[in-house]
Amino acid sequence: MTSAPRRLDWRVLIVHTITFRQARAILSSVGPLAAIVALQGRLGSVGLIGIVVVATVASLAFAALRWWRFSYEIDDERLLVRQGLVSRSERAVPLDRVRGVDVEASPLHRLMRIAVLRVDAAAGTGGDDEAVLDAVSVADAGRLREVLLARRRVGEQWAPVNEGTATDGGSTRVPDATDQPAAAPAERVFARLDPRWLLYAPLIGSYLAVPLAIGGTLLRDVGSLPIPTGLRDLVEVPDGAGVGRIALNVLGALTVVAVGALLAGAVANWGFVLASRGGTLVAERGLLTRRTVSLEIARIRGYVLSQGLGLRLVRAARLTALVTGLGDQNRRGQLLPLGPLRVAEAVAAAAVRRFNTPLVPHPPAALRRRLFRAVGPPALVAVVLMLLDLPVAAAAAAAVAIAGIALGIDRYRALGHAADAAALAVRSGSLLRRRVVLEQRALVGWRVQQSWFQRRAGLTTLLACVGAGEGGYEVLDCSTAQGLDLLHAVSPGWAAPLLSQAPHRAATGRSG
Amino acid sequence: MSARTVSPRTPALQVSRNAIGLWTLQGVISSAFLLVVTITAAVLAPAAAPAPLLLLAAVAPYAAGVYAVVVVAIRPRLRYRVHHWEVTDESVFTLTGWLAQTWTIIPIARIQTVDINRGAMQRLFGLASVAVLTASSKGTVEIVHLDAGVAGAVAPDLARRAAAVRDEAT
Repeated sequence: MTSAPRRLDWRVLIVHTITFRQARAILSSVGPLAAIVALQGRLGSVGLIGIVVVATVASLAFAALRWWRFSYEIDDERLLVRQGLVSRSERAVPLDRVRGVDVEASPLHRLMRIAVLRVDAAAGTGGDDEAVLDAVSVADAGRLREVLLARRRVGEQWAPVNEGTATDGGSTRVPDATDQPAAAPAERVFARLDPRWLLYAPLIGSYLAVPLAIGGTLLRDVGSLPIPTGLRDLVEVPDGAGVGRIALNVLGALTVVAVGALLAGAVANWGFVLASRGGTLVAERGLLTRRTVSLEIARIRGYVLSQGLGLRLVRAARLTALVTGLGDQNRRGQLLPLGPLRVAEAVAAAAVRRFNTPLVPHPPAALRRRLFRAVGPPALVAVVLMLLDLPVAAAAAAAVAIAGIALGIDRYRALGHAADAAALAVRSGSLLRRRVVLEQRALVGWRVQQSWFQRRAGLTTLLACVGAGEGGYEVLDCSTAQGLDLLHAVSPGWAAPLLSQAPHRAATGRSG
Repeated sequence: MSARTVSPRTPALQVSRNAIGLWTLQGVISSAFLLVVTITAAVLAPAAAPAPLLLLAAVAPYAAGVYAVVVVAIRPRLRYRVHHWEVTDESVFTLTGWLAQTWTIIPIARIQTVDINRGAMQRLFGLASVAVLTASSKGTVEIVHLDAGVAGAVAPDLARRAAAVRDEAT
């Protein structure tokens, strides 16, 4: 690519002027003042137009200043971003720290054929470890993505897979999702969103939250909105309304929320495609704002299959990759936002790794422990409420305790772990069931935990520590022997000191 | 490796004996504070206060006394007995906790940084803690209250060996 400093695409000026991006901070202080003046009636329509014109010109000026003072350049070792009007800042992202490249285009950006490029660098110190180019032309974005990720592969001596044949953009010569030979084709599609899968969206919390949030805002302002009385009755349940009416309202509200969630899911995931391109895994999605996330395959260390209770009932799941050093893993690591379980499993096997070893169930003592923890607290509350002579509340607590039996059994049935030659798998959870498959080389430590109760029951909880995802994944309540077997199978070398009974010679140090 | 193995091995080394002194001093300070507060409350409690409050005020100093015995006479020795650590050829591992025990083991090849921490009170007793960090926020080992000399030898040694065998798979 270039080694000379480059400016951003000029068309971003139009976008930033329209959205008042840079001028927003100033307008927020000037705006109310203008509004007061306008309200006092000292401003005619000419004045109003004047304000709009001045604001637009100011916005353009700010956008232009920023554009003028912003430059980026890529040399053999790093991406350099310089910006700032008066106080200049310079951010250097070493190319060997680049973990992923994220290209996003809002409808306005798409209209101008430009895109925002985010470079995600391995977080050493936490915080904001990314460089943002807002914005470059779509063609440049594709080229930059190639260069940023390709340089990284070359730098670490990874043989690039068919490098140079990869192109950007949604080209039509993409082979179909049917099984390809393992001869590493330039592009391979692992998953494409089937629009029918969007029906799962109302079962996913994050999509449900969207219509609920919008509804909440609307409800708050409903009194001040000029809504016809008949329509308002649908939202506000009048006093003394019949049960049927309330039921109808609830049904209506549920339908609205479900449709809203479906729309939210569609807007976020429309046209989702997961494909490999060279040494990267590229996920593209979005109806209005189009987002392309590129993950370096060599940095993927496993995956998480997660199913909320709703998704489990319809045998659906979401799939997320575990990538070392990637920030915002849940969003950026998405390999399948929603889909049937068998599709998610197939994508995981094809795009990340195949894991066929059946999971070993945990001992019956683990079931007792799950049951005790699910039933015990509400049962105790029920007894206390009974003693306090509050029969209704006590009955409610007792009902929760009885539901706890089902929860405890389900939680137990989720538990399991397994290891093959190169990876390990753990599963747990009832309301949110997760199956994590993790490469053994990703492990940076083990934590073995045993409470007094666990020790009496012969149980142990292991925590596999990794530098990806949440940082650690639990093997909950396996038998101590199972846990030690797992340690032995997965980390026979460095975890051996925990297993052997004869102390190893200490390399350094003495006790005081 | 089967059912007869009852638990992970206890690391070979203990922390500095001076740690007992430090923990005792910490216990003295916290229990003295608690005793002063509870006794003051018991003495100053107005006779007109509700009965349960009065009872609480009367009992609290004794509870504080029991707490003082535990944290000054018992807990420091107990802690000394349950803290273990060891550095082997390939890994560093610790065992902490009494009722709830936690073993942590980290391969030296995956160590990112090794810190030595010396708090003001630790200095008083010639102690230092060694913190071993990896790429995972949860994969951290802290060996508390070593002799400053031991910590000063262990930490650079770990760092040097980590640099020699570090691999980048994570």
